[in-house]
Amino acid sequence: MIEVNELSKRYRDTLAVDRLSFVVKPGLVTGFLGPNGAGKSTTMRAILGLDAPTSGEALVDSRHYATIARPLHQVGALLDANAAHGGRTAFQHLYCLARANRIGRTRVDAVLGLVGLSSVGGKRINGFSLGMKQRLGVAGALLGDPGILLFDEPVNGLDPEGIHWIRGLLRSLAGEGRTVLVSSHLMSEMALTADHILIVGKGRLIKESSMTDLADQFRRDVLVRTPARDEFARILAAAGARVQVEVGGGLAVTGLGQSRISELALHNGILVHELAARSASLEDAYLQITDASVTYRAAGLGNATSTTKTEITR
Amino acid sequence: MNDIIAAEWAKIRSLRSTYYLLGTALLAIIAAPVLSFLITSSWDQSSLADKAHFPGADASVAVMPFVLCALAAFGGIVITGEYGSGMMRTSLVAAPQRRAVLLGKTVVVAATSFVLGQVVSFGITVIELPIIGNRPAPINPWPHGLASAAMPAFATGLLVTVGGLIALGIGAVIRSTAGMLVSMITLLLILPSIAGFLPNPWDIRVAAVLPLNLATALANSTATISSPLSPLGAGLLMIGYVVLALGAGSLVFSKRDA
Repeated sequence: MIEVNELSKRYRDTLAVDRLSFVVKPGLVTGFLGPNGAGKSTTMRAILGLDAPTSGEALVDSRHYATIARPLHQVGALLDANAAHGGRTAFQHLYCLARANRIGRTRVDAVLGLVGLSSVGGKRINGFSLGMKQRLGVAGALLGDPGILLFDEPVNGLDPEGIHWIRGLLRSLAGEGRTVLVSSHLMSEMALTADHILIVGKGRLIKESSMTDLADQFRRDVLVRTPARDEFARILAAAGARVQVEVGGGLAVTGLGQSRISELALHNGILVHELAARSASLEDAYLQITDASVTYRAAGLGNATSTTKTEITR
Repeated sequence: MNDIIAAEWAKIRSLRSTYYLLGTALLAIIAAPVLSFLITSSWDQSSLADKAHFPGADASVAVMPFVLCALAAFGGIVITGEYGSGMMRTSLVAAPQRRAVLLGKTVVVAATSFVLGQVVSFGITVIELPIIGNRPAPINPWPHGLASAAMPAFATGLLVTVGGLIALGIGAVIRSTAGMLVSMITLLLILPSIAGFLPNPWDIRVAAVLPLNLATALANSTATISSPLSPLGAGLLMIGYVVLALGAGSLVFSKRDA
């Protein structure tokens, strides 16, 4: 269990994290989602005792991380795949971390096997691709077989096979009852792995929701515009659809597909001006939620929400 | 604590830079006696008048500052290398007790630089003794053989340990390898020559308290004209430098965000 209470972190004149509070529960993959610069990495560093909070606190298993004697047995973390000395071999790198936690060489070999790096254990990290370094970072997180795991953008640099592997790994770690916190700036990635979502922007918690609730909330419907609005609304309702009148006078129809609606219009002699399927994908939902809190935005591209229509299938 | 020391030991043993730095420092064991041999051969062929003006044939005076710099680089890189590669965060996640981590590094640097400093210093002396033989002073700095050579050798070796630990402390404050190296070279080599430009008697006073000259003062049985410091004063100053550097390092290392 990870508890973050009213956590704030200020770097000179930037407030990176602003009174952030949340709890990460065991047995679930919790997605920590937000645009670049939203404060995700800072929060993770505060949880791991690397950065001291300006105010508030972050606890793991009700303790401050820095007070845990051999922390890798309780918490494993992958923060930055490049945070390793390139001159060491993969084995040596892991052994240095393991030794401080009284973890033996056999376990180092075992985690190298778990992440598929057994064959390059004796190779220097300098020669590793970003994907291999991510796997090495995951191996480091798994060293002490911890109950709590934090991964900061673990899919960065992984090839499709690697991405598939890490999704499965995250699911199975949570399935074993562990607490798993994964950060990402991509909703599409979270949609495939997370059970629970924390969305942050400008250091604040914008939304906390289960993945299914979030998907339901940004529902898919069909927009119908017709001069015979009330009459067609009754017909659609009789056919089993849920119909709502929108502000602009259009009908928001759920429960019936575009083709069935157009058939009903034809059979009942209703004139239809517009018939459009609307899919608020999770990506759209995310963009809508975070739009006000984007820290770095390319100039002149306008509102990203109105231009993005990528549909994400879960 | 033992686990943290063991982890720090594993870290330095698994880096090539450790072997390069310690290996080059060991070359001094050969370099100094070669120089010593050249000086004595030149002495043998000189006239009686010239012989009286020969410097001592112990070349460690010329070579040990190099060993000192190599071990200072080693001591500093133990911490700045981790900042440079980003390894520091990974390390501190595995071992979040910062004071213990710095203490572990201190133990490893102290042990390594003590053993290496003494091995090189005594190694040079032991090889040079038969080269110089029973030639008279001033070319023979050790008229009573090993008995009079032991204390200077120990003091010169100890200065290497002091240099390594100062560098570790400065490295913890500065966090950058380049910055640490420039600071250490300034402190160890540049400041003594700048001190020489000061008006008398400040040139001698300032030079005497700089790390480079503490070994001679520690080995002298009494204060001399060239070093007004007593052996006790020199010893306390050595400890003072180390405590100051590591104290500042510990303060910064435990307080600042990693």
